Amino acid sequence: MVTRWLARVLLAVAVRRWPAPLRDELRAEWLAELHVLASPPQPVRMLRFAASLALTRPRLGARIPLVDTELTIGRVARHTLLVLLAPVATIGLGVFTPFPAGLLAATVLVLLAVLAGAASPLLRPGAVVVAVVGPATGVLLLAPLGQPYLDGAWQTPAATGLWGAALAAVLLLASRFRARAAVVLAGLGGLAACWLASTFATLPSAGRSSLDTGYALLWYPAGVLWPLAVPVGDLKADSTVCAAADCAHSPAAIDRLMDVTEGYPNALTITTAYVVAYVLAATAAARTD
Amino acid sequence: MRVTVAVATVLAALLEEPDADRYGLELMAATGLPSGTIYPILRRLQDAGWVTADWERIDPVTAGRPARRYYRLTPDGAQRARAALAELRAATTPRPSTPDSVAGRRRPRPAW
Repeated sequence: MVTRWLARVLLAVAVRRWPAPLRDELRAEWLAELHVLASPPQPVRMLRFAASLALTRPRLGARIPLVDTELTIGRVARHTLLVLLAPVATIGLGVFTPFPAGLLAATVLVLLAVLAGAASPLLRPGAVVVAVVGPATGVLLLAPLGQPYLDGAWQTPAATGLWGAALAAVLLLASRFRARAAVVLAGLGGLAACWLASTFATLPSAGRSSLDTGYALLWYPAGVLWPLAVPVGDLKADSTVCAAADCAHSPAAIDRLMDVTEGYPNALTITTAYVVAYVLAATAAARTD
Repeated sequence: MRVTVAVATVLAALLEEPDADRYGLELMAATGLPSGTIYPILRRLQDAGWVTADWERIDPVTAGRPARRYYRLTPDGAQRARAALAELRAATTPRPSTPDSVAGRRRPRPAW
């Protein structure tokens, strides 16, 4: 009984992998086969039949080629330069550009990423994601080597690696959906990846800087939304931070947080926006071709 | 229609009885391929016009089971399937070696 129910659940999953006009017929056909396997009951064969269908994505048409047929050296060179230089620009915007100008420049960069993504020479979603997330993660990891000013949160490669892996997974999933759902999924997933990575990256330095880790989940929005006030608690009394008599004149917790993050949440957010814009535009263009 | 090894296996099973109606489970048993491979292949063969699919004409209440879906090669599909399998066989059969080449392999002649 349980086996039959489980097999039906797996078949319901399997049917959703097929184009909508075929689903009703396939459901009826597979349920008829399941009925045969259920009388007399053959639980293993029933589950194997349903699981194989649920786990396999049907390839009905020709496989999407890896690259566009109209490929020129110039086009490949332009896109290679873009995916290598865009993360450098997003880091620069996140760390060194003041708030309103940085936001404006980031918006322009995202619009350019949409245009560039729509003309991407890569057609398969997996290849697009690797080609964009890979260099972006690499540049973020190497940034502290090129710019010694970037310390604190920037010195936590595991957090940046986590961001890259989470963003790639979210984008691969989003590329399977239609435009609107893909934008929502990639947007929320990208935000979650930034939030998670920023929190993990700030934690090691925060302890040394007397920041209250009880507010850890607010560090990311506080870093990105500054100068808007997001509460990050008070600095813990620490002789290395302020002398007991002079704590009234010690820096505010938000200033200490900014010293620790060094623009890492902003850079991560702008890089995420560029990556999401490029990948979604590229996968949408490949789908409609 | 791209004839892969799995597609060729299904075509060979269908060609054993080209005029017979075959259902999915029967083809799975005949080919040893899993359901996740068989059904997409049958769909592609239908789209290419090599195979037709028809529902079994029974009254499910009387029969006590739902109607099955049967697959059958179309005349054109059977012809194309035979040609594709022959082509595949020719491409994968090693060429018979001539006595000269065999002797040559055994005893390499000097370049002069």
